Amino acid sequence: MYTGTSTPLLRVSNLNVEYSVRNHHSITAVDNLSLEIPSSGYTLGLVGESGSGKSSLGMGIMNSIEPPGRISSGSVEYNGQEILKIPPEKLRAYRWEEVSMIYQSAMNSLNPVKTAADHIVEVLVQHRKTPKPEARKEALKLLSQVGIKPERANNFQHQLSGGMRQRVVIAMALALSPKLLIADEPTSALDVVVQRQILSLLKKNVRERNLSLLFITHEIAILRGLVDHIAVMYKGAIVERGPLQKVLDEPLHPYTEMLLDSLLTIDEDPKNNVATSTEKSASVRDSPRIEAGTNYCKYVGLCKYAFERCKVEKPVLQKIGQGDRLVACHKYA
Amino acid sequence: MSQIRIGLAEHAGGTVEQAGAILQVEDLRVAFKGQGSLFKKAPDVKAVDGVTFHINPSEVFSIVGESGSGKTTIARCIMGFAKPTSGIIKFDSADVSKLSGGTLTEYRRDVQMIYQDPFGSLNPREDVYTAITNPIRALRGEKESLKLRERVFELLGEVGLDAPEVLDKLPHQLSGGERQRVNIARALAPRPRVLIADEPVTMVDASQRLAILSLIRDLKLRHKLTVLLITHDLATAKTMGGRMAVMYLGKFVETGSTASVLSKPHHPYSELILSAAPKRRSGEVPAYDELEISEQSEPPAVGCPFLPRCKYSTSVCKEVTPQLEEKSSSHYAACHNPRNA
Amino acid sequence: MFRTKSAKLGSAIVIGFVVLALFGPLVYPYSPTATSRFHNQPPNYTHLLGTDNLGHDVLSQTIFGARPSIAIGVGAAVGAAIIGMLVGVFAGYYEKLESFFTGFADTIMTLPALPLLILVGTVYIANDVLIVGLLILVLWPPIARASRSQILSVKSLPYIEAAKAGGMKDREIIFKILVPEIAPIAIAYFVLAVAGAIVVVAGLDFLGVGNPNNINWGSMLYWAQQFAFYLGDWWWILAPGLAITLLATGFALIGFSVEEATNPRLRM
Repeated sequence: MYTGTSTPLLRVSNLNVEYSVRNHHSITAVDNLSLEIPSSGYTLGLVGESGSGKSSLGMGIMNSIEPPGRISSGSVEYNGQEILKIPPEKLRAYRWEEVSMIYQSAMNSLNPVKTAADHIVEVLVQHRKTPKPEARKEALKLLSQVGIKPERANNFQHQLSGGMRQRVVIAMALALSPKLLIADEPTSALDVVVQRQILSLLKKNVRERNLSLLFITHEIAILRGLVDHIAVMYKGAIVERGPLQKVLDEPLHPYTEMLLDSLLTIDEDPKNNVATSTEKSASVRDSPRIEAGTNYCKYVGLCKYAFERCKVEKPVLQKIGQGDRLVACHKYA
Repeated sequence: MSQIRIGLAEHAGGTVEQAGAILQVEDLRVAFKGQGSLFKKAPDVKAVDGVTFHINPSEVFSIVGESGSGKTTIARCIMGFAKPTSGIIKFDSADVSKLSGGTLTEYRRDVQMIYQDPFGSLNPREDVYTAITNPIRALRGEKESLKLRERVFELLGEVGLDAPEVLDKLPHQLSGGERQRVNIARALAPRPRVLIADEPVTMVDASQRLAILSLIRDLKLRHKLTVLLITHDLATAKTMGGRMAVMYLGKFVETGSTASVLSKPHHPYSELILSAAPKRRSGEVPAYDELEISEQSEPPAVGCPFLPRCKYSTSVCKEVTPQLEEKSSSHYAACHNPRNA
Repeated sequence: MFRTKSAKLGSAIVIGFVVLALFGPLVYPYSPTATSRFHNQPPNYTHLLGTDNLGHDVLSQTIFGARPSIAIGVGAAVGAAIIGMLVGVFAGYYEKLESFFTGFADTIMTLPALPLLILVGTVYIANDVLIVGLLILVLWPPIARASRSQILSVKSLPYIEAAKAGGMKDREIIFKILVPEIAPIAIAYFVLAVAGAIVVVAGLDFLGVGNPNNINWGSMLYWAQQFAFYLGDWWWILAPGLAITLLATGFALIGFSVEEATNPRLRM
C-alpha cells in the first residue's frame, strides 16, 4: 500500500511484544506485526478490542514498554532510524519532539501541584531549553488552541473537569511540534458530549499542523471524519487495513464484518438480529497462552467462514486487487 | 394521608401512585457531605435531587445520564447500599427502608442487580459454580444437592454458556463477555422479579454488547422480569425499549417512552446527547466549535440547571425552575422552551 | 512465596533452631545446669563453645535457650496477631468504631516499647506470663493497622457488594471473604512480630528484668556482661548473641519475603 521510494515516516517491522506472567509463561501481545505510516498528514485509526494488543503496539512504537512486558524482536524505524536501539538522550528527543503519545489515563496523571500552563512550560523548558517567559507565552497559545482560555491557564488539576484535563494533555503532546501523534483511547473516560468536542479539537489540530495521527480505540463509530484510514487488530495482528469508508462499507475480514454487524449505535439497528449467541467456551477461543508463531488463523474458533486451510495455516496480510486494501484471510488468498 | 395522596397526584411526570406498580420511588433525595477544607466548608453535593418515578411489572425503565448525574446512586438506594437523605422507595407497596431480617431476605430474593464491572463483581477466589450458588444458598436456604446442580446447569444454559466448560473456572480464566453472563446467571439464580442492570455492557467488548443486551431482553420476556436499566449510552437504552428518563445533575429532565424520547426529544439536553452519540451512518466528527466547551456545574438555587449550556434559553429560564410537565402525550420534560413539542 | 533466596535461608535457620529446641535434650552434651570445675574455658574439644564462670557448658546452654526464646516469641506473636487481626478487621469493616480503635492503636504504637517494658518489669516481679502479656500489648497495633488498611481496600470492591446483594450476612462476609484476603499480610506481620519479640525478650532478660536464674540467651548475656568482659571470655558473649541475632534474622527474612509476595497478588 505504500509505494513511494522515500523513507516512510514510521515503519514497524515484525514487532513482537510479550508479557511474562506467572509460572514462567508469556503472553504475546503483539504478534509479528508490520505497519507503515508513509508520510505526514496520514491519519490511521487502529481498532481492536481488549486483548488485541493495540495499546502495546502504541507503546512499542514509543519504545516505552515496561516490565513485565518486553519487545522480544522486530524493529521500529522512524525516518529510517531504528528506535529500539538508540541511546537514552536520543530516545528522549524522539519522544515528544518527533512522536508523542496521549494515554487514556493521562488526564488523571497530571501533577496536582502544577497549573495547566506549568505542565506545558515544563515540557518546553526541559526539551528545548526555552527561557521561561517565552515558554509561558507559548503555553498560553497552545492552551488556547485546545480551547482553554488564558483565564483558566492557571487552574490546577482539581479545578479542571475531565475534558479540560484531557485538553491539557493534548496541548502537552503538541507542544514540541511532533510529526506523529499517537492517541490511545483519549476519550473513553469522557462523557459523550465532551468526547465529541475533544475529537473535533483533535481533528482541527491534526489537520492544521499536518500531523500524522495514529488513533487507537475500541469504538469504530468515532473514527468517522477523524481519520482517513483504518487498521483492524485481532489478537496481536492486523487483520485488515484500508481507507476508512471502504472498510466500513465493505469489510473484507470476517472479524471486521462481525465488529460492524454488532455495532450498537443510536441511528441504526444492527444488521442481523443477533440472538443470545452462545458464547464459545474459553478453551476453544480464549486460551491466553497463544504463543507467537502458532500456525493457524487465530480467529478460526469464531469465524463463520472457516475452512480446513484456516486451521493449519496462518494467513498473511496482503493486498487485495488494485487499490489500497489489505486483508489477512484465506478467503481471498 | 389523603392530602399527601392528592399532592402526589398533582406531581408532574405522570407518576401518580400507581396501583400495581412494582417499584415506586417518591421524591428521592440523596445528598453527600461536601468535602471542605479546615477553613471552608464545602456545600453538600446533591447527587439525587427530588426524583419520582414508578415501574410497572414486566416493564423496562431506563435512566440515562452522564457521570455525575446521580443515576447510579438511585440504583444503589433501591438495592439498599446507599441511604436516601429523604424520600421513599416502595417495592410492592412496602417501604424498602423499613425492611430487615426476614423481609430483607425476601427483598433480596426479589430484586437483584447486574453489576457494571464483570471482573470486579466476581470473587476472584470463587469458581463459577460457587458464585452462582451463593445467592441460592443464602437467599433460598437451599443446600447442596443434585437439584441445585441442575439449577446451575439450567441457568448457565439460559445465559448462553456451556456449563461443563465453565463450571469450575475462576473469573480470570473467563473472557469479559463470559464473566458478564455469569453475573447475569448469578442475578437470576434466586428467581428475582426485578433486575437492576447498572451499565451492563459498558465494560464489555464492543462485539459482545449487543449479544448481552439481547440476552437480557430475552430473559426479561421469558421470566416476565421488570428491568431497571442504568446507562449513559443512548443506544443501549434504545435496544431495551420500554420507558426512559433522562437525568441531569440529580433531576429527571425528560421522561416518556424510549421510542418517543429518542425520536423527538423535548429537552435541549436530550437533544444534545442525542446529537453527540456515535452513529453508524452520519454524525462524523464535526468541525471544531470555538465556543468554550462548558460542562456540568453546580445547579443554581433557582432557574434551570442546564441554562449555561442551552442555546434556546430565554429570560424565564433564569428565574423559574422548570418542572416536569407533559409536553406531548405521556412525554414529559422540564423545560420552558421544549423542542419538538 | 517460599521461592526467594531469603525465604529459603530464613526458613532453614528457623527450622534449624526449632529442631534444636525440640530435640535439645538429646543433643546437648552436658546438662545446661551442670556446673563443673572447668570454668572460663575457651572453646575446646570437651566444651565446643567453652564454659562460663561456673563451668556451665556454653553450647548446652545455648541449645537449651532456643526453647524459651521460640516459645515466648511465637506465643506473644500469636496473641498479638489474634488481637490485632480482630481489631483491625472490625475497625475496617464497621467504620463507626474506627476512630476509637485507630486512636487507641496509634497511641500504643507511639509508646516506646522497651522502656515501658523495663519500667513494668522492675516494678512488678517479672514472670514469663507477664512478659508475654506485655509483649502482646506492644505488638498488636502494627498488625491491626495492616489488617485494617487491607480491609478498607478490599471492602469497597464490587464483589463484596454483590455478596451482600446475594444475601450474605456481615459476619459471613468478614470471616469467609475478608479474613482470608488479609491473611497473607497478617502472616507477614505475625512473623515479623516473632522476630521482634525474640529480640525484646532477650533484651529484657539481659537487663535483668526477667528472672536471671532461668537459662535463656538473655540471661546468659546478663551474667556474661558481669564477668566476661574483663575476663575476655568472648565465647560466652558470642554464643547467645549470635543465637539471638540469627534466629531473629531468620524470622525476619521469612516475614519480609511473605510481605513482598503478598503485594504482587494485590495487583491482580
